[in-house]
Amino acid sequence: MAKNIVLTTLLLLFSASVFSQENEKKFWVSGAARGMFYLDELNSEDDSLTAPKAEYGHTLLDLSANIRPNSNTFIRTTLRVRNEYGGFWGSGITFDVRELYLKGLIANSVRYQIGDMQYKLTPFTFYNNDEDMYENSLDIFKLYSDILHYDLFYDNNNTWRQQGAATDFALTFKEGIEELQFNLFTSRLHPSDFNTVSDRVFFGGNLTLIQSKLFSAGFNFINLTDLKGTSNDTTYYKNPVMTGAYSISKEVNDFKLKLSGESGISQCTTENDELAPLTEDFFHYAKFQADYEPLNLTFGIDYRNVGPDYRSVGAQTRRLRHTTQSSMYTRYTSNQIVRPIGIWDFYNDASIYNTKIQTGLEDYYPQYNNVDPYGLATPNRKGFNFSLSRNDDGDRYQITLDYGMLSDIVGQGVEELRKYNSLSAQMDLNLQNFTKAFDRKIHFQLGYINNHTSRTIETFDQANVDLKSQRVNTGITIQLTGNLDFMAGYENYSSFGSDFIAKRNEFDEVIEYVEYEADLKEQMLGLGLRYLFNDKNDLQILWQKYNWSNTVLLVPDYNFNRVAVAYKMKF
Amino acid sequence: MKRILSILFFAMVILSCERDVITEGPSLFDQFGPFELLEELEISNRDVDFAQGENTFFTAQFSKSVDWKLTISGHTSGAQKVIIGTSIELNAQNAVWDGSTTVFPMFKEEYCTVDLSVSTSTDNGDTIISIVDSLVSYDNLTIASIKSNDGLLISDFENGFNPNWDYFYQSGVNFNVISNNAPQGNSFYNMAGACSWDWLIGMAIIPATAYGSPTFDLNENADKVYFNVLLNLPEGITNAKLLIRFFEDDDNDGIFEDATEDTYSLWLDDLDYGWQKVSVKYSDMTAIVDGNPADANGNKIHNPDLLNYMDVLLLADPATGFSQVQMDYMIFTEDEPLNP
Repeated sequence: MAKNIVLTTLLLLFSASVFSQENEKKFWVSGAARGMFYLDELNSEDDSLTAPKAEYGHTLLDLSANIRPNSNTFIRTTLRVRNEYGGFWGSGITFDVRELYLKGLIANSVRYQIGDMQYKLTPFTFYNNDEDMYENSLDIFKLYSDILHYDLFYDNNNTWRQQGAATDFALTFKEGIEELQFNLFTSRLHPSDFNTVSDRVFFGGNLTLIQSKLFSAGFNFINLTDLKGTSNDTTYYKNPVMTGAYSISKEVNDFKLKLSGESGISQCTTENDELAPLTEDFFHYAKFQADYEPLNLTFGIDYRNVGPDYRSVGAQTRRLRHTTQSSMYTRYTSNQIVRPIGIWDFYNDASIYNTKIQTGLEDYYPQYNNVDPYGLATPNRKGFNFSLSRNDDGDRYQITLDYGMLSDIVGQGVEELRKYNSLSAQMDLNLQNFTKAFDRKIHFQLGYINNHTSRTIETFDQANVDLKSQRVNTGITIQLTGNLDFMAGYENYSSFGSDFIAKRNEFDEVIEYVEYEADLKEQMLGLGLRYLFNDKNDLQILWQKYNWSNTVLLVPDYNFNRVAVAYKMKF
Repeated sequence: MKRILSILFFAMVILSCERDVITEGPSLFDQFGPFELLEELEISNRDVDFAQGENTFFTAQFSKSVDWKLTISGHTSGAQKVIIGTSIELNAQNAVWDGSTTVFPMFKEEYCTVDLSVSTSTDNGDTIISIVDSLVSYDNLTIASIKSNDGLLISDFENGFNPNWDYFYQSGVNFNVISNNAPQGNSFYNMAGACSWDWLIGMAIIPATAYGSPTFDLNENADKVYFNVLLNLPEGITNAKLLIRFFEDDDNDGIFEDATEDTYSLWLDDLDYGWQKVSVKYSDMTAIVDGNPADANGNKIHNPDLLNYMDVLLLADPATGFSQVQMDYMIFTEDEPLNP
């Protein structure tokens, strides 16, 4: 019955779309579709129990109905129809409403949106930081992160998907200042169960004063709090954050100079809970950027000082949950031990990602990001970051260099501070633009990341820290014919050394340090073909090989082989 | 120039903010550093006269903060006092003994051994070595006189039954004073027996008049008065229920009247095996009717200074047979529970 209703709805949507085209587009349909097929094979020593091969996939259609009942109102709803590979006559088919929102303009001056929305403020207040290992993704492996980002609503400029309401408006002035902008939002993170769980809401906004193109300043406020009286629970979590931001620009000859920054304070506590401490701290962040236009060269230096007790749930929620188990091939070997997860799972397993704001500093993966696991808002960090980038005018290359020199602000367990040094280099080459010898597009990528955490105490070497991680990746995409590309990529990741990881209680207080040690090696090799029907529509056939090894864990190495066929389109 | 000064001022404001703390979380040295006993156990007073208000404290020093345990054991009584802590040293603040007891019986005038043990972990390079309750030092002392406890002593049974109490026993039961292995002194009150037709096995009624006054000489503030008693549930007894009731003469006419005056009760049906101290703040006691909390019949105010009499009832389900509870050192204290 449900299927009939959905099919009827789909037909109505299409027919309405056709009809509406004659009527100044009051209604139209858009969406995305994809078909994925995987053949995976897991190999490891001493494993006679795990079925080594798995064949699975799905087809999926996101059908969005876009309705513009009048010139000031827009309504969008997206229906997702998903059919698991092997499903037939309706088995394995799911129907979900993926999104629903309404937005519009009141009196030509106040914009509003109700329902689902993408929202962010600043990296210290409300910001969806990229997940570990996302930077510098190769063309061939980007398919998977693109799919994850699309499904989890991450693909919108570091915004978090929220459900609530938002509004923005601005006041303009004749002299003195150009504009005063107001942005406000509210969302509900979880509802009351009318027993022990209270309604938890997240709200805030900012006020930005734009004096001119040269100067602007803003005030940001967010708060995540439980609503009193919505359950029998008499304790109320709250985490208000207030920040001030500024931006000063100046042009001097061929240089464009810009100084921007943000400073703020946070509080976090649970009211009426005698055990809950009041956690308060502050942060400062400032960035100076110089663009030298003749060479398209950009130099940046930033300084940050984020206190150990700075808490901002909207900016410190991690995309990647900390887990020891993946949903695919959870166990392996004849003893059926838990298979340790690796970057293979980061690229493939949507179940290990957060889709909601989480309270508390979640555990992280020190082997993948020990430097700033919570983004710029990572507590207990101070120091400088330098960046240098150049975009070639002729689109021949793009080079980016980043170097970070951070340290703890307060020592963890000892007075001596850890140092965090990071180096990142990324180069993109479009070889066809270097010489006319190439009449086909050749995109070459090379990336290198090196992170090092260290602490040396001569009188107490048991507390020394030396954790290094290194990532080298390189890829190439060669245009074989007009629309057919050959893609190849190789990624090598290693992490070795030791550190002490803070374990925190429910109030985020450090209660103990756990020794962490790694000797991790991961390699991923991929080859594939991509046929581009157009910019929004392609078909890819990929082969991948992945190896994992970590001698510290005393578990057998494993590797994956995969053949994947992926068809995706947007319309 | 003005602009530069503004920027410098702004930078100074930012950089002038400092945090007070220099470390976060527990000390790594305490968690993983090497353990060493830097100073042996020392005792400040080796011949301590607790009755005169003396006490003794212990000192020792470690290389790092550890979980430590001092165990003082009486050679004659078998009593034990356990003092625990987590610190880098033992001193007059964290390791002081006032003559009190942790494991009954209470101390006598006797020779005592003092053992100092620690629990800690050490990172030995490849492995973390953990030790639990490892003896690191020991010494001894003598108790010249035992600790005295302030309060209104109802009975310590050292002189047998109080002749001014009233008693009721079912036939065949055994309620007597035993002078052997008492938690305090030499004697305690033994309540034992079986009754196949009634829950009540036996009871003792303790009138204030036995102490020379129509009401017990207690503070009028119920938040300041504590009732304390040492009880023993012998191994294997699973059916014992002890009810201790407190009858107040609200109108202070010398007679308790059940219909119009308050009765508060202490219901004990989940005692642990072995001797234990039970201490209850007078104001925490409730009126009970048929085993359930209820309103008291009188002024509904806890009035310890109007306490007219008490009774102690040993109860058990008649179908469950033999039951037993032993009792010693019944005392009211003021401001704090008994520290035996």
